[in-house]
Amino acid sequence: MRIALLLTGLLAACLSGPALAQASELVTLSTGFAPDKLGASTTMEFGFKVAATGGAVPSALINVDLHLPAGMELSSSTLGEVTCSSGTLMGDGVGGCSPNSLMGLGSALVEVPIASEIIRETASVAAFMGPSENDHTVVLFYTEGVAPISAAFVFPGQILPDSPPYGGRLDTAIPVIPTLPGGADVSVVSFRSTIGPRHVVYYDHRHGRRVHFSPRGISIPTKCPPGGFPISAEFSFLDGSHITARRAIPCPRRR
Amino acid sequence: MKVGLLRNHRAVILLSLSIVASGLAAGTASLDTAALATTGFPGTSTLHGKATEARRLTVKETAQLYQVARHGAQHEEQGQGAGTFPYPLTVTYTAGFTQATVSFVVHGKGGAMYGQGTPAYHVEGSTAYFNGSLSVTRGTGRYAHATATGLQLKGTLNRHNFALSIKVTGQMSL
Repeated sequence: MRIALLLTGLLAACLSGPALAQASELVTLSTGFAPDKLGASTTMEFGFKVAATGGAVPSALINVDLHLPAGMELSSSTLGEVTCSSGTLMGDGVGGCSPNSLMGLGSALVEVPIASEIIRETASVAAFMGPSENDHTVVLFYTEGVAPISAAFVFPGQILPDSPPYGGRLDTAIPVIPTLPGGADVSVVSFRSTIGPRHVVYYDHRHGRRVHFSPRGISIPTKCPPGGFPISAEFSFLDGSHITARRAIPCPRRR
Repeated sequence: MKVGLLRNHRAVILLSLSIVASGLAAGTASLDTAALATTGFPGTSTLHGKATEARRLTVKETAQLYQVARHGAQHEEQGQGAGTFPYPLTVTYTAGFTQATVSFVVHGKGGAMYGQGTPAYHVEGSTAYFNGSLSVTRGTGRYAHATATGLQLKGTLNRHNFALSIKVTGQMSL
């Protein structure tokens, strides 16, 4: 039975290195650019892993606020040249959206304790350009699991203004996903995704023929600040704990 | 006798002082501000030329522009203005996640106007949107005294071909 839930989620910036919350969660982040070249059109890669001390299922993640590097240039990007709506995704899945609305790909792992077992499920993640909200760019993350539970979720992340050294923040509130009555909530324990043209194919019609092409990604700044491109992420959990992790994407090596 | 002379002297002195005082008063009243200034009268500043009032102007401007160059992250667009300033227009911009940095030049007759702003920027499908304020910061020739703050900019950018459409409204001084 397909379980369809509408979530508000967020794509988390990745930083290598663990961060501790006041409670028992531990977050490990990773991030990068591909290609890794100043001024180049690139694919941003993000990921995080959440663990609870003692091997228990961590508290459900309810909000992620990702602060993105300043100076990244969006105006030359052609990612998401078509929009797709949450309703289309929930009703028809990724097949209901134009390929030219796809912005990135990834995966997620969720856990839920049931009785004495921990049920784990891996889900695919696809990022789409959504309709704007309050004059803010929206990225829709469509997450679909198959087994042991067939479930699909859509979380829209809004790109909002930020303060230096960041150039914008992708803010998502993640609603609690209940399972069995009286049972534990679903917990996202890992998430990774890209925003960029890697493995993304667009289509156009030229001279009566359908042709495929690769969209232009967001551009890396032409100058790297000392210490690398700063990224931070703030994670909030259902148990009231919070984690803030700050790192930097290393400056590209000179070639 | 000496007392009488002293009194007369005092009277003469007092009368002289009063004449001088009235003369100064009369003289001051007869001078306009510019003249006072040119004589260096204490407390005035030096003025040159003829004073003119700045002309207030209501700006209603639209333009269609096309990309002519790209220098790294900076895009250069050119087009023809319509409305208050029907002249060639050059706009350069860069755009991050939520904000753009815009500068422009209006190539008017007998001079040019320069300005800039940092409007909000967002993307939805094939269109990007600018929304915010601009300022006129300087001018040349007949626009040498041009100035404006808080001009409202609304713009849309075609993300395929970088065709830019803008509308600017507000008040300025020339």
